[in-house]
Amino acid sequence: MFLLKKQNLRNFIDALSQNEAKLKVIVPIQKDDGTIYYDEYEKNKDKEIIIEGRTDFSPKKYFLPEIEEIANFEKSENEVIIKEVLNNEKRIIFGIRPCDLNALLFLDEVLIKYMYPDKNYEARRKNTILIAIDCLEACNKSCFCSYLGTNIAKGYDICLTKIKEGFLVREGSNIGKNLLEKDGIRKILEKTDKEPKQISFECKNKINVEKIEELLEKNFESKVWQEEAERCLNCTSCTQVCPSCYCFYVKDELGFDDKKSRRLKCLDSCFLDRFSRISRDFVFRKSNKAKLRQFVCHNFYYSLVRNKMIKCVGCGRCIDVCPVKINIVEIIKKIRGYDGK
Amino acid sequence: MKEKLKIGIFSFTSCEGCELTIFENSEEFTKMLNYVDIVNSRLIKEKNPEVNLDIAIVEGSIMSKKEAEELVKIRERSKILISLGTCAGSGCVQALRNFFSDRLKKKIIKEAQTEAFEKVKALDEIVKVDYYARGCPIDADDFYRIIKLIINNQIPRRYDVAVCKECKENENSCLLIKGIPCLGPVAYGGCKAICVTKGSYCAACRGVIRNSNVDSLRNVLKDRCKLSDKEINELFQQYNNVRGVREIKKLIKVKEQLRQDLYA
Ligand code: SF4
Ligand code: SF4
Ligand code: SF4
Ligand code: SF4
Ligand code: SF4
Repeated sequence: MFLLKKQNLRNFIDALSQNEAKLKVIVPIQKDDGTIYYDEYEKNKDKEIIIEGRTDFSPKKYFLPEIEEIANFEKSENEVIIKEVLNNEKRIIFGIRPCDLNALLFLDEVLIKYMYPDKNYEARRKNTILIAIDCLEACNKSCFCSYLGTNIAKGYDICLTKIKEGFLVREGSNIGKNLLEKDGIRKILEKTDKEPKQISFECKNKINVEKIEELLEKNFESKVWQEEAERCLNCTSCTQVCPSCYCFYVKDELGFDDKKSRRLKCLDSCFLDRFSRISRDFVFRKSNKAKLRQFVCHNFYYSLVRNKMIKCVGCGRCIDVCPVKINIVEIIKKIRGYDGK
Repeated sequence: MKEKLKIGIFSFTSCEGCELTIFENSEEFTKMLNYVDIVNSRLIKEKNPEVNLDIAIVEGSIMSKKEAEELVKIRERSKILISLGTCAGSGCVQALRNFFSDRLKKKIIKEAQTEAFEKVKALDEIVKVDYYARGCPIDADDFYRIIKLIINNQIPRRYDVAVCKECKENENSCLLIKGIPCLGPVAYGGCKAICVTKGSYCAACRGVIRNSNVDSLRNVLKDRCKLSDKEINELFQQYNNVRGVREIKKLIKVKEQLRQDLYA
């Protein structure tokens, strides 16, 4: 265990960004309008690094970008040459919160371990070092991570815990261990035998996930879906800010000259007609009711059956971004209330 | 190599800014010229013969009988007709005239003895439109996407995804949540949510999506943004050639039934 003094936080990040492998360091910062998001440290050296509370946007874009080139094709005389593209940029993400770490563990389960590995995600995952920050209390009134166990940091390379003097720094992997031993970094840290306190807070937004898959299976035709979905705008804000939503579609972008045609993987959302549109313009999941049910059931039912994990990590972002106040926790409460009636 | 497609670009009542946007992206424009011959364009050509066309790209709203007749002729000699920009798509700012008082309308139309229609019209009120390149002005990438697909014998798919999707891609905080009006949830995307990203609100210049939840957005504008019915109507009026919420709902329903703006 190391101690990083409060005044040395910036030196620590500077040292990370000056490491020999020339990794890009990504940090949580704030826009002028108050939005907290992740961006490159190098380009934002004058900005404050936000280490407390939830970030409005998770660092999902570094693993599942909105648009990613996965292949390109070139036509010559009589053949088409197809080249696969893998992103091999190396990064350090500094300041990732426990909920978003847990979301990555869920994404690993789906996109790497389950059936067909997603090479692009896997490459990005392998090339990224994660430096986490523990949450010591619920970050806002909509999060409910403590009821899902996702308030505990897991799967990090290094983790920081805030204490009075600064931060306790611990390693979570060999990569993290080696990084902490690098010259420029090690000299900023002091050895300590202090231990971080057990994380034991409870969120205000209470959710009961006991036998939730059975509850949702039984209430597939509940009237709650229609009641809640009627006002949905299909704006997709919820699935976009969700750190564990991963749906994508693939499109070919044709160039004027055949040389520059690209195959793109683009993030999608189950709130769109396009998501389930097939030939002849037929959309098989058209009603708002069915779309919202897909969102909730994927989070708390299908993911449990298929991947043995709840997809939702309880960050509460989808609740806060919804212009019509559709609330995943309230929906489940309401269904429990109606259950059997 | 395939034979080049014959293209004509036509302007009715508009600022010709959308046409300019096509030429402004000179890289894509010069590449496009390997595949098309521009046989008609008032802006860049001296001679503009009336020949049959593979693609007519038409900008501008229709203000008079003369313009309407000309449009019908263009349609008759073109295989594909693309509506370019909001003037062509809905009538845009010219159409604001449609909501002037009767007295004012009388003075500027009847008494001035112009040929003008009493109502400014969009192209699809007169002829069949195949594809829509939307926006005031259009987005050049969006336009070239449509052209490339046509050149490659593909059908440009309808892009009925709200502006909010791109707004969130740009990691903006939502205006509606802060109580600031925005029409993003019902507006056709494809503009990269440029207005919100640059600090303004979305005025739905690209049109209102056919099956979008206008009623629910109206409630948000009322409850969260404290707008009156009149103010909400004004928001929809700005670019969409409608008196307000009721008319926009009717319009998108008609389009749904006629299967209009299915593509691009
Ligand atoms: S479903 Fe909502 S609360 Fe759960 S992880 Fe996604 S955004 Fe967070
Ligand atoms: S189906 Fe919907 S809820 Fe599930 S991952 Fe895809 S977008 Fe997210
Ligand atoms: S954020 Fe709300 S309104 Fe938008 S798609 Fe999600 S549930 Fe619907
Ligand atoms: S600011 Fe406007 S466009 Fe952006 S998410 Fe909110 S409603 Fe949609
Ligand atoms: S954000 Fe709205 S008003 Fe601005 S260009 Fe896009 S559709 Fe038009």
